[in-house]
Amino acid sequence: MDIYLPVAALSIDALWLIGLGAVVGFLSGLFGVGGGFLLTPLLTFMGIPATIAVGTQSCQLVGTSLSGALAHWRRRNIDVRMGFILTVGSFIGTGFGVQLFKWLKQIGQINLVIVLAYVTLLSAVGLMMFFESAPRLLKNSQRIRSGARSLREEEHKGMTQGWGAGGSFAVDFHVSNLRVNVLLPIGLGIVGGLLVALLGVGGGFVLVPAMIYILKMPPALVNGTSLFQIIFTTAFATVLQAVTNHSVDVVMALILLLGSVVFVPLGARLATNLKPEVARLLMSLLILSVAGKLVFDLFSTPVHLFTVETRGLL
Amino acid sequence: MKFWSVLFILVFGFALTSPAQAARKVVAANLTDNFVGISEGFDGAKLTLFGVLKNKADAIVVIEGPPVEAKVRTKSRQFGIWINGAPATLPQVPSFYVVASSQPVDKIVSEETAVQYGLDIDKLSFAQDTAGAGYVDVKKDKGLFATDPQGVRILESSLFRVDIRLPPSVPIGTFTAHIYEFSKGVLTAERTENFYVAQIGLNAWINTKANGSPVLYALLALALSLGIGGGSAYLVKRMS
Repeated sequence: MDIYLPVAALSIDALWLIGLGAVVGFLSGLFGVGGGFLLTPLLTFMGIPATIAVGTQSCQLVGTSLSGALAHWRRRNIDVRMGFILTVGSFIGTGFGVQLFKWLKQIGQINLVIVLAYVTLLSAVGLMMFFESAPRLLKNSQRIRSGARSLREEEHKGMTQGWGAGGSFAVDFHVSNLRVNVLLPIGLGIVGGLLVALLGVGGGFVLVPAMIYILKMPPALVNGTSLFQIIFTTAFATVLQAVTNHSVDVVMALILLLGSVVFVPLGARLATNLKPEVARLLMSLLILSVAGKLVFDLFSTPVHLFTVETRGLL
Repeated sequence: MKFWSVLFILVFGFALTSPAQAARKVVAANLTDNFVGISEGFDGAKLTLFGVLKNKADAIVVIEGPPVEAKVRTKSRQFGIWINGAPATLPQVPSFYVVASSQPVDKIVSEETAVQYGLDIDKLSFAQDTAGAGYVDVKKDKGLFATDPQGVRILESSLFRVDIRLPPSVPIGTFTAHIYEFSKGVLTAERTENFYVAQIGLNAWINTKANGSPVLYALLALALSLGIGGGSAYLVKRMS
């Protein structure tokens, strides 16, 4: 069933797109990560230009992150104040990132930068997941849960003092029970915004660990707060990408989104039956194989030694 | 002023159409369709051109897409990986170029004639440097530049038919079909037909909005995305 993508100006099998959305939705239900970092490379393997994949993904992520954030909202797992401060940073990052994107496109290096950034991120995340999950599979353990409990007990002893808590930029986050220098979450937001603008990912897989280990937020609030912030960041990125780079294909975004929202609950259901170590090991292998394919393409001689970019004259 | 210009056009119009043109005849030919609409399910299109030739003549048909400006970058290996170099700009090149003929072009005309009328896609005027040749190479791979030595089928004695296949990635704009009739290597008649390729329906609307009012377009896309995301969250909650 072929479908014509009006902005990308190419035709593609809609079932592939739905399938891809479904796989990514399933994975995000299963692992609680956005899965965007798999979608961009997979779309380029299907022949979608990387620029269109990145711009379109930001639009699709608005819907997926809203759907995820609503679930966390009901469980009161969102620190709204922290979310908005992260958003301040991420708007700066997105604004800068989209201009950088435009400039890289003009000098013809955007594809290379996207691929290199993906190789770096995917290898790092993939290797981390692999080395964390593989040993655990060998010796079954309970340490993870007890670790989480001790962290929670710590919270009740009074407000956590984050980095720069005594300084002049210190801000209290009552929901997170945390006092921290406001520049820290803004800085993290900038990194998140750059990731959205340049790579078309929500950036959760970078922000979530950073919010736990650097901001020292309670882990229970991190996923929801990250998703909450991603809604605004990706919405802002969608507008900027559409205006600056004309790289948002609404037809593709909606098809991917439909595929993904149907499969998120299924993944979430399966997640309760699957050993988390097994799931993470499988995920890490998937991520590493995508990274491997990207590296292989970087080094292998291309079919064409030429890249052509055209502009209509009439 | 108006009177003089009308008179000018009349006089010169006659001068142009009468004796000079009479030497070279016009091929009788027609396209089955002058418009190709790209709708939601577009996966390529086929147009047919019918025409009549003089006895024992050969026909070569050149289908040319709208002109574009192209930036061609040559990749080179640096630090082991392939990196785009600085671009060479081709100011005006066809976005689509297919040469269909009743037999291989070199059997119909001399090399010189083939170059003169642009019948050999590797010897087009712009394709003589690295960038131009690279452009043709990439386009060939996408099926947008092609040669089809059996593309013109002679049906009965003088009637011929050309099936023009446009791939899904066909460019948008005005196309021309130049029909050349050659007898013993000499051009004896020709004709030019036009057809148009455009996005239609929802596609056209989306594309106009995306390029004309991108902010509105983005807000609309956001509303749809939020609607689907929010709606699905609601449904999941109701079902569980």
